[in-house]
Amino acid sequence: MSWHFIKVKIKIVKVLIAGVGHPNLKDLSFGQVLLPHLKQQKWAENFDLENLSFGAIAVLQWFEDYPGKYDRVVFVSAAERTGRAPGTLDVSDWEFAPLDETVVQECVAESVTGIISLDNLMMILQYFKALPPEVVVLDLEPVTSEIGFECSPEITARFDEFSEIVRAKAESVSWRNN
Amino acid sequence: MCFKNLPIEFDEQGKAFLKGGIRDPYSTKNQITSVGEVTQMPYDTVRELLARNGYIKDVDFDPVTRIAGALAFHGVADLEKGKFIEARSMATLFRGYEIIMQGRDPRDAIFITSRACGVCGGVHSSCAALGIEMAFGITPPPLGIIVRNLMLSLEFLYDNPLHLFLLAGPDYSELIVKATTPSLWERALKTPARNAEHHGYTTIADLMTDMNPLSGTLYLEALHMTRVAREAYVVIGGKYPHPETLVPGGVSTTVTLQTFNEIYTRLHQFFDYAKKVVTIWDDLTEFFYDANPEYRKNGMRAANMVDFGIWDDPDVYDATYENCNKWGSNRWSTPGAVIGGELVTTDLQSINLGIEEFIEHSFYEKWTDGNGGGMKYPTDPNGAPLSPYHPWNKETLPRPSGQNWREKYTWATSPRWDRQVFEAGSYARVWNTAAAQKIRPNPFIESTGRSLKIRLPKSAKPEMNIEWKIPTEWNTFERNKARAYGVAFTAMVAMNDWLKGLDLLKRGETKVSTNFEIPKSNRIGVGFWGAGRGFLSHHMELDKGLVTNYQIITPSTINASPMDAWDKPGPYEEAVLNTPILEEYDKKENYKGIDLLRTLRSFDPCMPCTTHIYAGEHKVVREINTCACGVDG
Repeated sequence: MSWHFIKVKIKIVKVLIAGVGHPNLKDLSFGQVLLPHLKQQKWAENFDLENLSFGAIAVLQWFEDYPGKYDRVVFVSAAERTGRAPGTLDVSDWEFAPLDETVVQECVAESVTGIISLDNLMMILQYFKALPPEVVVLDLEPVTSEIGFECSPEITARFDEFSEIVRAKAESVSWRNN
Repeated sequence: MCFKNLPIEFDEQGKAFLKGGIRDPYSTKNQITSVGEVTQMPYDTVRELLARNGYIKDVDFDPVTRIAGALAFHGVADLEKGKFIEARSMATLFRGYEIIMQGRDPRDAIFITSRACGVCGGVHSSCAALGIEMAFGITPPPLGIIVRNLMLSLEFLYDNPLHLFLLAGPDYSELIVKATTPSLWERALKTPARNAEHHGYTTIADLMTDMNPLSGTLYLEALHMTRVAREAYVVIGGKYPHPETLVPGGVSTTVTLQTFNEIYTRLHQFFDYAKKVVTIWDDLTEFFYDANPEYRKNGMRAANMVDFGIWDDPDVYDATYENCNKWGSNRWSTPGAVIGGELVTTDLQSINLGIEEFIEHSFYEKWTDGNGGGMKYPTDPNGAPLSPYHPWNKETLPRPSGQNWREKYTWATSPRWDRQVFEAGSYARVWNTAAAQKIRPNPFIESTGRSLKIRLPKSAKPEMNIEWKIPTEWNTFERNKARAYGVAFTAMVAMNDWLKGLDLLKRGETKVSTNFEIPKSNRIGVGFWGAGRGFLSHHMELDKGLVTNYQIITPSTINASPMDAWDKPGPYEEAVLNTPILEEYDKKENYKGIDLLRTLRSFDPCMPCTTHIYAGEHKVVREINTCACGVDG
């Protein structure tokens, strides 16, 4: 009888879960508001949770401080988009589509002048090659975007559901051959 | 005697009084004398020309803001004659901080009004703190004033380079110059840069290439420098752009030698950076002037500008209105009103008396008949006459309505000084300080009356002496150039304050704030301050410990203002009406509007917007990027 050893290379995937959004706008602040809820849960050491709700250029520089640190980022945010029912949570992999430089310059200009937006952030991070290979975006359609510290009751009631989705995406096994 | 239009005179002791013998002294029916008057072509004439002349084009700068738009511009261009015959500036959003503030604890103003701007929120926090200090009767300790000054400088070191290279800069880049004026690009390829030894670019074309958006070295360096300034800021501000350490009576941060060291390691990087910024904008300006003297008319208007001055002297500032002329003139940046290129006053009180806001073309209701009926404050706290249109007497009464060029078309009001159309900008600080010769002795900055001399110390590059001279004409290029010199001015003011702060620490004067109680009696205060783009005031009235009136005038409200009670166009409008169209295009459908965009951007417009030019059926996309503080009533 002979033994066959299979060499298995295990890499601990370093994951960042990032909330993004303007503060104090109820569901539009979903990314920021869900974050403390997520932080109350138990996470393994290879998961970082950060509020990246500052200007996209500052976030870019934050990523540049840690080149290659993360293998995967899960962005949690909200935006009002046409044709989407309130309360819809879109979950998608960022596809790294080619960018129009004119649009990226618009994003930079808006970002340095105070606009906080997931769309701007994603395009700037991609353009300046600051994103890790795996990027997941969770994007909520707000029920209400009035001034307020908390999300609407409808959205707050679903925090556990949303948290499970975040966890599933953050912990999913990567089949990428890196 | 600084007023030509307002009915205010001064006695031999300099005390202001209302001129006698005038029936309705503040009536808007009274005739005024305007310096540098520019007029719009009559509405009906423009419409008639549009109908019958194929070269007259309705050109809309329609706010297509993917996220939050606020500035729009409408113009009518005569493409044959190469000029604009109609120009209308529109603030398209009402933000209403004046209304949000009513009935609140005055301390809230520091945090709430900061949100008026996503670039320079801290200036609103400071301005609110200054107004509250005046109303409360409290004075910060010296180190508290120094820290506040440093925060302001660091905010400008973030803000002004950002504008010069990330927002306005691309208009002068290879990408844009090639596309809009190919002959200029050909010339740039052959034109040596005069300051090559300082900035390292052999030709103007090399320099323009590095100003390309996203990829140019100068663009990327400016992105990096925003970080350097921000890092220094948060050491004392806690957070950027909305600081958490500003309080009435000083700051709440702990300041040590380490704090000062951490700031210096960032600040000194701006010494060399300023050498580069100044020489680049010197060279660009000269290049355009040499290439075509008509560029001198781009964005041209009379040099009418007003600024309150900034950066208080900790040995003199006492927050009182009574002594505002004294502490005002001791500011590193001298307060001043420049009319027709002449500095007519440096007194904060006179500057304050001269401010009025008009709403004839804005979406607001009148709060006064102009004759003083029901005026709450006929005089300021020193007994000098106040206009019923003055911010202390103003009420914000929003009234949305349809847009009508002959009537109301914007959410911006029309702030005027002595009923003159004036502009605000970081350059006003440079101009006033250069002309006033009041800057106190220091190792880095000297005011000659005709210029501002600045010594930039040795860092990685050798020491360099620069001199900004008061220009004989005022236009787009001079605005940007003076803003570039403003970066050097700001850096060396910060160095002066840094040295003073270190001295206070050595002497053990580490206190940074003053205790206070919120007074319950009726009182007024005002913050005289400045944003990255100039003039900023917060006038407030408090009663029973709460805010009863709060009025903010931001620089972009001034610059984006519409026509006033005398139908005189606002600064953007004037500047565009004076701008020749020098862009090269084969057919009018390919017209991109670069001359107009350079004009508007030279003011550093402060409203988050991306503005698209729409010329007839052909859409040409360009953006006017800004921050968020220009649209408050």
